[in-house]
Amino acid sequence: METVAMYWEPRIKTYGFQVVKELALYRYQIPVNRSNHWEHALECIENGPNRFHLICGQLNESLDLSLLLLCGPDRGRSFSRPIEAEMPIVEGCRRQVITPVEFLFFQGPHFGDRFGVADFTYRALKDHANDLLAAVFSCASIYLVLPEGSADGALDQLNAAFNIPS
Amino acid sequence: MMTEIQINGLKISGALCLVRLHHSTPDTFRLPAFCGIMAGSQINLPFISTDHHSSGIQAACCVEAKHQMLTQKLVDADPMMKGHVSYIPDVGLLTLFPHQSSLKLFVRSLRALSTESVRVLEMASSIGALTYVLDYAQLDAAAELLRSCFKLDGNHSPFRAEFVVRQGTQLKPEPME
Repeated sequence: METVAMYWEPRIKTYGFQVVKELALYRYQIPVNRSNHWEHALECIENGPNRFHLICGQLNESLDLSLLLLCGPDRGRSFSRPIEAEMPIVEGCRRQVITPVEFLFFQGPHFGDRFGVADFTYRALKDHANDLLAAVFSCASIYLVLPEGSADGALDQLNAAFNIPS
Repeated sequence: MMTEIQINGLKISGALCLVRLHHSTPDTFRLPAFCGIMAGSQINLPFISTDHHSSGIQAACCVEAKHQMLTQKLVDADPMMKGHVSYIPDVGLLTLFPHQSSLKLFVRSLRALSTESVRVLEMASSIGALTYVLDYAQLDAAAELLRSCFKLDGNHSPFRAEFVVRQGTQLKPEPME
């Protein structure tokens, strides 16, 4: 069965924006072809409690996993320790922490099913798009990670562009 | 013994093509322009992920498999894009929800996939879901793997979308009764 939905919004509707500040962005470069080390590190991480705001990753051609973890400033450590303990001598295993960072996220109806939402967002962001540390558009959510002091300016631009029903 | 983690569901997408944009610096960040080109041809991007770091910007997104040829044609026609884009055809999205903001859940799912040699090309969380970009041929097997390591609510099975939302810019008149 196919349902055809007609959307035409000169100003795309969102349910509203949320900003979280004083977070830490952990960036890991992990060679996952060292499977024994990787497996044990994951086991240690799984056994420790932790929470994240955003996680995303990419596996490149040389089997390096670039993993981004956005969380509270101290929470990334329990993720880092097992990786560093299990793979301290593996060449190419790197970690970078950027803190504090800011996080702006929003969602809207069928964002993931409609063309033009990402284009509209980047046009709205204007120069703030160059400040981004990371971005994820997945399902009906849009997540933007920005350096300290940048989220309010980006929020103003998005507020002016998107329609937020009262 | 592993603690049991309950999830509410697993969703499998249709066939997609993964598009990666390479070697951008903040001055040559190509994704906004790429999104503009795609929007101009009414091509949806159901998944986008970017990582901006000192050595460059990694950007990846998905288009429906049926739009791969048109996407390549549009990219090749644009001097700013040509030569900076690569394609991995025959991928799909496996989404599990909710992720509960839990690293434990994330790691358990990633372990299950990596242990069984499922190639994870991309992954990202959204507000409630965790989405993996995998080889399309491995989607069903990967869904079964995840099903076996989480407790699914009720008799829930991995599902594919039962309807497709198509967006148009012109309202078609309703047939007269």
